[in-house]
Amino acid sequence: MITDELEQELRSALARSAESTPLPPQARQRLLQRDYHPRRVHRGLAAGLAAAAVAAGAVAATGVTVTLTADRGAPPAAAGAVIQLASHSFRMPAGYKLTAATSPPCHAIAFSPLTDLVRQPHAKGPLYRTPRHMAGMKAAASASGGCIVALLFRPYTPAMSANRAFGGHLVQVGRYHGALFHLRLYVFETSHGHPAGHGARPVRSTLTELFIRLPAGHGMVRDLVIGAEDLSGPALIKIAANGLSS
Amino acid sequence: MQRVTGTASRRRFEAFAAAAADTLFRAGYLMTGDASEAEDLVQETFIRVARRWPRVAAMEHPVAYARRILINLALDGAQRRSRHRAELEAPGGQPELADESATRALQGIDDLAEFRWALARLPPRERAVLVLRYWADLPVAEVAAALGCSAGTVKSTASRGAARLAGILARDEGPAGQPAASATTKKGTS
Repeated sequence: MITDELEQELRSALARSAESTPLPPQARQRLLQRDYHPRRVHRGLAAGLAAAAVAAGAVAATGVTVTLTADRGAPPAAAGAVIQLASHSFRMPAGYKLTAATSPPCHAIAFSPLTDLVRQPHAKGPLYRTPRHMAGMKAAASASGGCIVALLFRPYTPAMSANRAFGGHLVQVGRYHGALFHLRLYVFETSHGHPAGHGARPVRSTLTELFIRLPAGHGMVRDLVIGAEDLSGPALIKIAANGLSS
Repeated sequence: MQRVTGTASRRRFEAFAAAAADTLFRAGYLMTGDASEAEDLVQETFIRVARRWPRVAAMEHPVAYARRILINLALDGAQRRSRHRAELEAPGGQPELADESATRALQGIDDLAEFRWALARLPPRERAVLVLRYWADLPVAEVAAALGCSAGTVKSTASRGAARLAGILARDEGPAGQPAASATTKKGTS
C-alpha cells in the first residue's frame, strides 16, 4: 500500500520530469507535418452506406429487382476487389481496389517481405533494389491510403518446420498454420512512386504480415504472405482463411 | 458535400494532433527516457488514431485514448526489445524499500536526470503504472483498463514500482555510473 506522502512525492517527481522535457520545436514540426490520412467515416458505416446505395439503385432501376432481392435475403455487404493468387481468390475489404504494388500507397510496404525497400533510417545504400518475387505480388489499396499486398512464393522443400521457420505469433488460418508479425518499418516518403531525394526523411510505419505455409505436393510447400498497413491480424486471417477455402 | 466533410474531419484531426503532441511526447519520454523513441511513439500513435479517427473524434477524451495507445505501444516495444537482449537486472533484483524510506528517497531527488535514469530502469509495466497513475493521474480502474489487468494488480504493481524506484535511487550509482550526490544525501537523512 502506497502512503499518501509517497504518492505525492511520486506525482511531484514525475511532473517535474515531464515538465522539463518539452516537445522540441523541430520534432513538433516533423510530427505535425505528416499527413496521417485520418479516416472520414466508420468502415462499417461506409459499407452500410454503400450497401444502401446499391439497394437504392436497384429500387430506382426496377421493382422486380427488389422482389428478387427480398426473396434471396439481404444483399451482400459491399466488398473490395479480389486478389487472385494461383487458384485462390482473396476478397479484399470494402473500398479496396487493385493497384500496382509499385504504386503509392503500396510501394512502401510491398517490398517488406524482402526487406529491400525498407531499411533503418540514415542507412547507406540504394533506396530501391529489384526484388526477386515482385512479379508475383498483387496489391490492393483504399482511398484513405490503406494497402494490402499478397504474394505466393515458389514451391520449395522445407528445411524446417513452419513454427521454426516463421517464428512470430503462431495462428491457425482455416486448416493451415500461419504466423503473424507486427513490424515497425522505416520507409522513405516518395512522390508518385519515385525514390525520394537524398536526405529524405524516414517515416515510421507499421505493417501486419501473415505468413501461411501451404502444401505444394511431393513434400514441397509454398508460403503465402499477406501484409497490410492498416488491417489488424484477425482481419488478415479472415481474408486469408476465406480465400484459401474458396 | 463529402469533400467538405472530409476536410472538416482532417482539420479536426490536425487540431487534435497539435493539442496532443506535447502531452503524448512527455508520456513517451517518461516511458522510454529517450527523445527520439518518444517521437517515434507519438508518430505511431497518431497513425493509429488517424485510422480510427471517426470513433476517436466522438470520444469525450481523445487525448486520454491516444495516451493509452502510446503507453501500450511503449510496452510492446519494450517486450520486443527484451526478447532480443537480456534484462540488465533480473526482475526483483533491486532492493525494495519500505514506504517511509521510499518517500525519503524521492524527496531527496534534486537531479531530474537521476530520477529519469532510475525510472528508465524499472520494468516497463511498473513504469507504465506509475506514469498513468501518478503523472496522468488516472484512477486505478482506468489504469487497469488501459493495461488490461485488474485493479488489484495495478495497486500491487504501483507499490512494487515505487519501492523499486526508491531502491534504485538509494543505490550508490548515478546515470553515468558515478556516485549520485543526492543518493549520498539520502543516506545521511535515513
